[in-house]
Amino acid sequence: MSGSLAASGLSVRYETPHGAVHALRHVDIEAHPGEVIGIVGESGCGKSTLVTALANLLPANARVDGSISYNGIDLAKLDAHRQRLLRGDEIALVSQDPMTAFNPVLTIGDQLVDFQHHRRDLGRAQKRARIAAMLGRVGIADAERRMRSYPHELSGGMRQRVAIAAALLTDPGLLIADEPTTALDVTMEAQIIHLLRELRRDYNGIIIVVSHHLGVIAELCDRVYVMYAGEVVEGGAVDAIFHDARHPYTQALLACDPARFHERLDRLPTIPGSLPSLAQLPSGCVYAPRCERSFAPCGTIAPPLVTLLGSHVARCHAVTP
Amino acid sequence: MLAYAVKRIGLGLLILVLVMIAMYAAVFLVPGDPATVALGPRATPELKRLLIERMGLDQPVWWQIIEFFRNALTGNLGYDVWSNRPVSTLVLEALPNTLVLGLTALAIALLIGVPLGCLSVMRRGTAADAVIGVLSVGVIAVPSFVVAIYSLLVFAVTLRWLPAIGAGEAGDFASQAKALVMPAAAIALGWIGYIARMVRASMMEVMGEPHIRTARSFGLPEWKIVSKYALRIAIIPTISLVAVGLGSILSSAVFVEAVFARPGIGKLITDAVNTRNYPVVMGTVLIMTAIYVSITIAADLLIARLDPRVRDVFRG
Repeated sequence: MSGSLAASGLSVRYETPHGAVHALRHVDIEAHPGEVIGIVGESGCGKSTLVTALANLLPANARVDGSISYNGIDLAKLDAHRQRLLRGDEIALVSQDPMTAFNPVLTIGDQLVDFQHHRRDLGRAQKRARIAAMLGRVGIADAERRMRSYPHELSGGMRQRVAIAAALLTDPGLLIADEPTTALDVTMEAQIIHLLRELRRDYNGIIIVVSHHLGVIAELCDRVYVMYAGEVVEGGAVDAIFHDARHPYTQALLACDPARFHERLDRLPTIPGSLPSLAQLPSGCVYAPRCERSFAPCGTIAPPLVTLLGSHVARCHAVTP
Repeated sequence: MLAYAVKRIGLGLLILVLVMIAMYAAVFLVPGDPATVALGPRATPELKRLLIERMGLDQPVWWQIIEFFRNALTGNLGYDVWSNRPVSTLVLEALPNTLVLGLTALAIALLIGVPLGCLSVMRRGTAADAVIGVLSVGVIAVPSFVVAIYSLLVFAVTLRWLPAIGAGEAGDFASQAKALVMPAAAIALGWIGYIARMVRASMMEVMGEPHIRTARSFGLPEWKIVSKYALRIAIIPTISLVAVGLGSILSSAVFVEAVFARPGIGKLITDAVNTRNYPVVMGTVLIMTAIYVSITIAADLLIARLDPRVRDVFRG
């Protein structure tokens, strides 16, 4: 089963002893079956909070406003039990670090059998057969032996393949890959991207890929949302974002991507300044203090989301349709 | 793994030898003539000489130690100076009672302590967690002989539910079990608290690890995450604690056996020390040390069995 995903006006704040941290504010995103959606932004921009909210895994001190509608159900309003039933059944998460994602004292096979607990119709032997087939599909040779291995006996790349296989085993309608290649070296990264591209051909649910790596997003995704300080500042088709970026932050981010320079530079370009504190946000545009093009209203009035061509949107006073 | 086991056993044997050397050195260094202490000031010199000879105390200390181990290797631990019965027989008679007591106490402590620790983690921050925390610290603070005396007053004297003394009728399981309840509970009570605290502490740490998030992201029920994914890791420090603690369980058995007049190693060794019955003391200490060393080795092997990462360290 697969359906569309839409978050609208989604805000998440963490209640801490030092006050509330507004990790996510009025985020609107949507995704349809068969689409691969990218979420990009620098560390601390709210990418992880967004996917954690989508996967219903927010910690107890998180407060959610707005709605996350998946297949017509509002996930944010489900009780804890119903949320748990959706996890690992309809919604699967491939977590960030394959080194620590698996339990170190249980075999891969044992864990992957448990992860299929929603499939009450299958016996243990059938579940193991599904695992063996899926491990083969993600490019792991000698699947039977690997199922008897413990996580530390596998390389990082292999563990990330297992993590992807584990997520696919649950036949999710929504597959979230949180920084799937960040912990891997370049060769492994290329292999995992290749694997994800292969898999998307015969997968008809939604895939959400989170990365701070623009290259990963460009190679994998149909549409991309650019996040800054807990807000979506720009979103649209990959082509539109990479070739016709309108938000000054997206433009600056692209200008800083080392992969896009053809000649060697003495100094890599950077965006001056740093992220605003999520506990005390500026009253106007969150990017204004670092923005080259900021003008009168930017410091005081929060910019609206401007719809450009097609699905292209940007949250900026300087952008006109 | 095998090489590791062999190494641990070799080290264990070395500990045995060192403990016995220390014991003999203690007898040699303690001031006063053991025969005079044992027989009283009015014993005849012939009688004293006879006793010294029977205990082998006329030989040099190093020779006594070599003789002791040479005999021990053939299963001969010497003879009780007073009854002339073999020490090995005395120990074998007393040992089952003490082992049953210690292991029952440990089983009770684990069966109650581990689930309490898990419950604390599942209900962390709630009233249940706080109550378990306060009770745990409370029972740790109460010495086992105090529990023994009070339970004796309540359950044996006032309520008359359980027998006050002894180990029950030989061959009658129900009567033996009844006699076991109070002494075992007296020892177990504090350990329930220890184990609950220990399990809670290491479990809290494990529950913050990323692989628990993975298990959650697959929607596994919380009880399964706690009992399978977290406990397998969190129980490891508890096993080390329990293995070391078994020594203290056996030594608290000495008091508890005294309170309940239960025949056992504790009673055997207290009586032997009081009557300067050195062969019995030496034989009992050897057996108890051997048991203690074996438990420690068994615990380490069990940890290696539970944690494949530890297993690989030993293999390599």
